[in-house]
Amino acid sequence: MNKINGYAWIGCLIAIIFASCKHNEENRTGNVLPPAKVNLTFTPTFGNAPFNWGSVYTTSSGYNIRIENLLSYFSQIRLQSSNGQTAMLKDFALLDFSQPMPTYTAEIPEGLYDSLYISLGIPATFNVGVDPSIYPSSSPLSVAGSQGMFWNWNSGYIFFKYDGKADVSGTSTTNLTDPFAFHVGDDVNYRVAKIGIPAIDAKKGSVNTLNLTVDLEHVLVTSTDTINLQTDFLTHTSDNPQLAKRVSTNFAGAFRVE
Amino acid sequence: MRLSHLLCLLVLAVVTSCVNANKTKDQPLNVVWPKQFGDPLIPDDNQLTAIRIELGRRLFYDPGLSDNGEISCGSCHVLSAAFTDGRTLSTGIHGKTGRRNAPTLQNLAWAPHLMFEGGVPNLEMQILAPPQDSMEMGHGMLMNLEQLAKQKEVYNELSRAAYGRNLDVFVATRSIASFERTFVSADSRFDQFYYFNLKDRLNEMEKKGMELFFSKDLHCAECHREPLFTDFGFYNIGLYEHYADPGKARETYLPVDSGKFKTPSLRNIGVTAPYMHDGSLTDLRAVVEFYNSGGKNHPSKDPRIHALHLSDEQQTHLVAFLYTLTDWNFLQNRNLLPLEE
Repeated sequence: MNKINGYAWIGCLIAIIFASCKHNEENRTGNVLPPAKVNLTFTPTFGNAPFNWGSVYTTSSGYNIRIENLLSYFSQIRLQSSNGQTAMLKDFALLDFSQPMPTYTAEIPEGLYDSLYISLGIPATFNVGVDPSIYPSSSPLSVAGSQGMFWNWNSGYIFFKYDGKADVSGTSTTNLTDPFAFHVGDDVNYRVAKIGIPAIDAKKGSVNTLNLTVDLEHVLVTSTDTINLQTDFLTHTSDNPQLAKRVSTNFAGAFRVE
Repeated sequence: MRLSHLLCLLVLAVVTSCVNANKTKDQPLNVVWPKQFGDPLIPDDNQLTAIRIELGRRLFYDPGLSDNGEISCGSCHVLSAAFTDGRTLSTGIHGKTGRRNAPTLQNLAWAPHLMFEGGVPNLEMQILAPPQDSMEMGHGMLMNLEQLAKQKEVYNELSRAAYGRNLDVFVATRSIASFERTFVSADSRFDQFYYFNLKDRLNEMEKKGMELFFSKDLHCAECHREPLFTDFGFYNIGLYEHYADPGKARETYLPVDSGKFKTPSLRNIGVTAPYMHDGSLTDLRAVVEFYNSGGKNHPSKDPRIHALHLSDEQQTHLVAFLYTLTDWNFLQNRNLLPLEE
């Protein structure tokens, strides 16, 4: 019996040695190089300034504001090549801007990618009428993972909450008493942004990094639309659908990759 | 066979199954539904079983589903009041006053959509609403079901038998929905009179009220359509010239839907005071007087709401008829009360 066990051990040892040799050979030929990877990071800014949670910022329209609650769903984040090849980086993400920003890593097929697509909100097929209790709690679409970003009275997701206080007179940076709250959902406010990026030549074994900058001032002020916080300071979507559309469109233009 | 007998069979089936429920084996219930209601709307993946109902029953009455451990579903939905609470507006955690009058829970197995604006497509999803509403049960408790299951071992025992997994949001919503689908009310004196030809069940005053109710001039039965006494439609009845609550427009954003609310069932209406979405009418007489007045002007008001010119006596007859829709067997059904351990 002991003799048989001894042979078995020797056999295993030989098998391991052969397997290791084979592995090394494959490494030399490049056959087992890992797929290309992309690390996607997020950097919030306010205009051109770094964004720090709890800080007061002055908008280019002259309001002093402090963002006090900001959560947003981003979805279908994907790269696209000029010939239409796509690579999904992240299907759904719920970002809480009061917390450190996450980094998402995805393995992608080889290709030359020059565009990034990111959606603000949840696509219609995953939104109204979809039961969040079907998702595991690790999903940002689950009851726990949605962190209250779900309208239980119409069973749709809140795409983003952008709340805070302002001094609309623009004279005080310490006594901000004018609240604003934009709680936006509904399929009509789902936005898809296409962002040009420096070309990524994704080859096996390569690790690429995309830093997505999110300009939080752009929700309030763009080259074509300025939210007047004296009059347009509140929407829960249904009570002010026009304002919800405006801030959604503005927010969708807040992304850039440098 | 009398309807009450049919219901007894239903209740018997549930009771028998619950009593005999082996907490590790579950099986579909053979439920006899009231024929006049037609087929119930029950998802294929959540057919009624004894253990699912028992689990839902325990959770329905468990205040652990609220943030502060004080409010259960049964706090605002009390059986003796046809699962309403008698308040103008319901009271949530920390004494917070809700936005609307607690709706009755009955015959939900036939409801094609839920909530006053009808935005929720099924009962399973509706169960998510109160435990996530900061004005009702507060946020978060559904996230802590695991903790609740640790405190009460029976929850995971029943969950695994019923759904093959430990207690979580999926299980909680489906089991409570299962329990609520047993809230069947179809044995009022009106049912006995109308569907089972027991002519002594209504007195003359009530019969006159019934004639008025079903008359084409009054239009009552067009929206409060039998057998469920609702058409599940949405109407502005002219309760206000300016509504604080947008009603259906909250979901559609359409001005034309302003002040429209889902037609409530009139079954057991005699025990669900106060009335209307905001509990603003204190008793049935006030409701009938409101409709008799024709309501207030509103651009979205349904054209069928207009002054009825009913006499005092006719209004009394109408109120008398509405009380015949009370189903005392339902209101005293011990299988719908908290489990006695």
